[in-house]
Amino acid sequence: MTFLIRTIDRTATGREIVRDRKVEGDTLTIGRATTNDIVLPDLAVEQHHATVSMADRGRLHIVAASNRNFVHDGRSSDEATFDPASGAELGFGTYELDFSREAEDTILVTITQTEKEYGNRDAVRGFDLASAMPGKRIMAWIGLGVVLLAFLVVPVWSSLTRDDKQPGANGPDQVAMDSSWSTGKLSEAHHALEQNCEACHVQPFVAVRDETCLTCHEDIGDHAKSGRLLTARGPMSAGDAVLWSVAETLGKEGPTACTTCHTEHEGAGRMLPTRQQFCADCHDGMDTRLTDTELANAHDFGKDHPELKAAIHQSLGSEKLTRVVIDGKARENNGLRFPHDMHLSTTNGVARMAGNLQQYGKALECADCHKPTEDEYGFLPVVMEDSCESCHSLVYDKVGPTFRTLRHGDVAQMRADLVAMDRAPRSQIVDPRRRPGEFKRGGRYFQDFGRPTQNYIGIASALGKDGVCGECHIPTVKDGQQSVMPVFQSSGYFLNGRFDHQAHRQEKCTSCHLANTSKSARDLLLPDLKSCRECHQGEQAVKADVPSSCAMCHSYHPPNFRREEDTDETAAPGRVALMTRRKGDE
Amino acid sequence: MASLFTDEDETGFAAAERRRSAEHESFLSHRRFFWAKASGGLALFVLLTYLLIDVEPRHNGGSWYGYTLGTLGLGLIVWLAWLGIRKRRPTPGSWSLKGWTSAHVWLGLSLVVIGTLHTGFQLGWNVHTLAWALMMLVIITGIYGITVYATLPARLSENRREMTREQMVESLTMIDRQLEAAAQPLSREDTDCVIAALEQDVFSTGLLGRLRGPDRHDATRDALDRISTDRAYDRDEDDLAQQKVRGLLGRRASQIDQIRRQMRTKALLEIWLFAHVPLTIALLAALTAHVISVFFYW
Amino acid sequence: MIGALAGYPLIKHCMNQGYDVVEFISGNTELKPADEPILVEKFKDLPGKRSTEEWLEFLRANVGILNGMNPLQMREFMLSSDARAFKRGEVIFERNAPGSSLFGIAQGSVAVEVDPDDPSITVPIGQGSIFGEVGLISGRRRGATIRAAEDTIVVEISRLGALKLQSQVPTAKDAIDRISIERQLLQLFGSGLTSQDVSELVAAAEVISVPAGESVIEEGAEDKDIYIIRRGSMIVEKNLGGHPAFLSYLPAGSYFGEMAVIDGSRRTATVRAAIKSEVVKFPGAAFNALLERKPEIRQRALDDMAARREVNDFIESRKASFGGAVDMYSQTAQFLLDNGLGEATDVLLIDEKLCVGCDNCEKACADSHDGLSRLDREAGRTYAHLHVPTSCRHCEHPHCMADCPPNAIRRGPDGEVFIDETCIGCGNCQRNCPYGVIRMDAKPPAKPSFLSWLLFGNGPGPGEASYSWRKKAAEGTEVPKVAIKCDMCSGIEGGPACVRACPTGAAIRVSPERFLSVARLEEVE
Repeated sequence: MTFLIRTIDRTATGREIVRDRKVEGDTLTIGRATTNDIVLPDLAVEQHHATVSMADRGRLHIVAASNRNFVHDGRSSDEATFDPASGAELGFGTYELDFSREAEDTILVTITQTEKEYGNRDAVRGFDLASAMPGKRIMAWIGLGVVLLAFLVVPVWSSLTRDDKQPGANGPDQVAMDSSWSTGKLSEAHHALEQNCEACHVQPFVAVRDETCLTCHEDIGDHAKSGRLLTARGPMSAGDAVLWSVAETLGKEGPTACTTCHTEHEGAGRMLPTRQQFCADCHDGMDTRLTDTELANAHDFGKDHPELKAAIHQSLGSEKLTRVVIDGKARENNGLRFPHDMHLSTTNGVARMAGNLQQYGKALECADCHKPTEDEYGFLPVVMEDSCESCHSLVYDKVGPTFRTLRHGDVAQMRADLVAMDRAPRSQIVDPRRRPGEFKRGGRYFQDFGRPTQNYIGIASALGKDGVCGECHIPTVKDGQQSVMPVFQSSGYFLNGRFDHQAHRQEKCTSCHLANTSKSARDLLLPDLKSCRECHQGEQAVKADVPSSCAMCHSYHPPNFRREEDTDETAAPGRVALMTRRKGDE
Repeated sequence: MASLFTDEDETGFAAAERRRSAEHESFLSHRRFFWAKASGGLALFVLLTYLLIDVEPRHNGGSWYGYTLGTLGLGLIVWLAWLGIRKRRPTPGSWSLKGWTSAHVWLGLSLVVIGTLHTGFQLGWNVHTLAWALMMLVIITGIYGITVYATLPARLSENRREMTREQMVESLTMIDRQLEAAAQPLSREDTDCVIAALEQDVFSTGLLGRLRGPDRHDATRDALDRISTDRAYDRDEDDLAQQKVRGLLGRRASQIDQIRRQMRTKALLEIWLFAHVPLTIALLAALTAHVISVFFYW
Repeated sequence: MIGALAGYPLIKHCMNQGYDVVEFISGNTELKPADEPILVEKFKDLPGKRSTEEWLEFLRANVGILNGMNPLQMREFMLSSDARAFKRGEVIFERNAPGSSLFGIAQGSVAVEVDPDDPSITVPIGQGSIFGEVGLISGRRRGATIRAAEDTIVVEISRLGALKLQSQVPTAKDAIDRISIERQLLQLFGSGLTSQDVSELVAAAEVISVPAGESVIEEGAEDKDIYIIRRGSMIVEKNLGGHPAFLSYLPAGSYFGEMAVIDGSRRTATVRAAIKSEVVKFPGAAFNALLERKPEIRQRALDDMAARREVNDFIESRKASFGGAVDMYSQTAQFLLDNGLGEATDVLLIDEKLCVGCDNCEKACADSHDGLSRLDREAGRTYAHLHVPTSCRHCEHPHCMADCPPNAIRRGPDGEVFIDETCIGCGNCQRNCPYGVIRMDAKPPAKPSFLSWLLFGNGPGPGEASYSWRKKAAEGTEVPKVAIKCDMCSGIEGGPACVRACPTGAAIRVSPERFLSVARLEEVE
């Protein structure tokens, strides 16, 4: 075996000097020491670095002598076998040894020293994915531009340059792309404003103002005067104080602003009812803060709620409403005489009478007289002409086929009608009643109503205790003349609450209103707190049939309250009864 | 006096040594999972407060609690995005990018809870939900990143077998050089094959090509097929040139395979960044629009 | 010609001598030697008015190791050394400070603070003696703080000067060896010993040079000597099931062989040199005699022994149940030692199970140092996913320092080996480094600002600029290539940028004694 060692050196001018020499033998030693067959004067090469020896099938085997490796075809290794026929390049330090087969028994080893450019790593950039992908920077700029333009620049610009900057629901939608700013659907009540953000958000960076709300909601009444509200609530907790100071710094109007309670963009649907805690914040222990209040403390219907109070007319004929606790003993004096038990009986004459009349069933029912109000919260006053007169007729005369009826509700008119009853000549009595006993003259008998004195007696008897008026009304003497006490009917007994009869329609009336055992119209047939609580408990009472928050019966700001100081309750002139309703229910 | 170095040494240097050995933890377990614990605790705290705090009328981004979460989330996102600056600027100071990465990964994951609870699950077609969606996309790509960072690096090193990328390229050049010399005696057709192989640039391949990895048909393998299978029966022992070209083409193919494997692993390791980074910038833009719009329509 | 005849080694010295001779012949008898101004400058700050000649004589006469020099040698010697005066109480150097210079006390005395916790415990070193010699020999940090006990004049001999001194003046070498051996003994066994106690041991000591890989102690042998590692490092191995299992790594300054000496057993493990090392051999009998006299020393030695036994037992027990793990641990240790960890003081390792190949370490390195990376992450050996990248190991006795014409390679305050700006770009160090970590390159031109790259993609971005960009940007300017290498980011707050900038924790910098500890075995498992 012959190794032909070819050394190629370069002079400073770049000229190549080629030297050939031959090494006979089966092994070839490589290293820095001069005893080696191939001497490589490089400090990175070991004194004896590697040995090349023959392997089978004409291949060469090279093994490193120490733990310093060599480079075989670009790979660092300490042992390698290769066929010189297919060529191989070995690297030792800065030297490269190129092996190839020159002839059958000759292997050419070409030695060149390369000037390695350390740090030229440009080629390796091809490994990075970045060389095959669009740049992150350009993608980022595009994303940034699109998002900012569509969702910031367009809405802001069109908002700043719009013409009409008035609040209100009627303006056109002038800000482009601002529906992308909506944090959620508006409640049903505000649905029309869905696209018209600037109706409420009038000025940029200014929180929605109360005055903006009030441009539409003009007659919202105040719950109480602002000062009293603050007193009633008492000092804020430290946490709330911090939160509000932050909110006010950021331009929010304050805890009494509309938007504090009425949050919007909470999704389509009704605005959600206020939680009981909201009321309890003030009304729980309010008497210690608002010492002059008449309102009792309340914070949970099931646990802490004052007894129900009804506003009634306690003294007969008085317009004055008195609030009394509903405890079963309270009596009102509304000026009527009306035994509910008799009317609701299913067996007595009343029932028989009702059975004979077309518009009633077998017996009278509550609904025959009591008609609900339009909102079905309360009941309309019972109107005599509609509900009573079919039985309690006020007919006093018959002229031909026509009956003359006393005018109900007007004492003076009644008086006049009765006085004037027989002024006109009357026809003969066609079917005189035969008097029992002896016949005197003419053999007939009839009563003459026509005489005035008689008529006055008729008036007195009508207004007497058992007369046609006195049957239902309480007689009295007014200005020296006989009359009846005024009647007060109420369609709602509660000052501050609201009772939704509609919601209770599956209940029988009598399960709450004990009318079928009431013998007197003075009975206050309202259920007490305890019976309400059979079904209704506080908001958190999950076991109750109906967990009830304050808002179920109470409203924070109704348009007005029937307070003594602000009620407008005077009887119409000449009218007996005063029908009152809370204005809010009309 | 004597510069001895014993274990009783309790000075600053020894402490630094302990610190160093303690640092041999991955970014996930950095400081014994400090950031994992911190962010888990944060997420749990946020979740608990979300459930316990009564917000009227329901949780949303506009309640005081929502604003608190929003501010927290915004701060976190801006800080997390700052990692991109941090890692590219080796300024002096005792920061550790591993610590940053660890915090980035774990706090980023906690954003799923913080960001989502900030929305109060009120999602819709608006810029606010866009910001949330972008955030979730960024986090999802990030989770992919964590997964590949945790599983693939060893493959990179196994495939390299102590070769640098530079050496792989060099090796290819070296083979090409030899191939060009060895192919001189070949016939016209064979030479054309070799030229096609030599002209093939392993790096000029797109994303899909990179993900597909090695063992693909290309000019080198075509040339190899032609020169080896065509001659399988009339193999001329004397034709040293063909033999040499065949050997070189085989080496070229295996070298290309190594490069391709390296490129594939690198592509798998890097691809998520091409979504993660631009999406992060878009997220920052959407966040700007989100915050400004909220105050614009305050 | 004249200088060469006088035996000067360098052309510079010969020229100076020739100049002197020519001047003298031409009648200039007042002529001062050419190096006179340099020496005048060196002695200028010393107290006491002495002429240069008197100073040289004063130092030569008072410092023991300099006694053997002639005035000419002394003059030459002082050119590479310094004479310094310290006030009483002033610190000469501090514990753990790096430094390889040797000090000789010409006047006064110094106090060594042997106990780092209590500076009041000191050992005096008197006039004529030397200190700082272990730093010189082992290349490791200073072991104690030294203060001037009174007003003191010392001569500080640089590492090169000291090496030259030892080779030129055999008496000086002997003196340094003897003192260093004695001190090493005293240091090893604490403050309970005096130099009288160890004088017998010192007298019997023998310095042995061990080539890399050669065993000092063979497992199972019956010799009874005890050894101290003077320079280099050793590894301890035990034959378990036919394979050598790595037990521990012993840095310079450790002792070994005490088990056989104390309990008279056979050697329980093989100790061999990780790199070319020097050990001091003491006869076991003399050591035993010392232990007889000093029970507290005996106790300490027994404690040390127990600790080492524990490690041995631990590894043996692991071998039984986790054989693969122990093999792995041994092989990893061997791999690291093969890659120069044995002589390293601080080396960058990469855990390739964590490395995602982002090259952020290289980028950070380049951006912290003039835009050129001093490390090649991918290059270098790998074993079991533990990769030793091409980056400086900061050897105890750096090969690169061996032949630097401007003496530009030095060891810095944190132990780092660095090249200063006086580099002339000759490339000797690059050739001398066995690990190939020094590169020659020209400082690239400044890149556009980071922000303009980040936003608009101006310039090559973070990290080392591509060669093509550098070439284009540097068009027309000529910047010489200089040698650059890792300086462990000295002077940069926060330490090495490569480790700080690693996002996954793959890059770690370790010192071998920490890394090659049993703790790693548990990790391997």
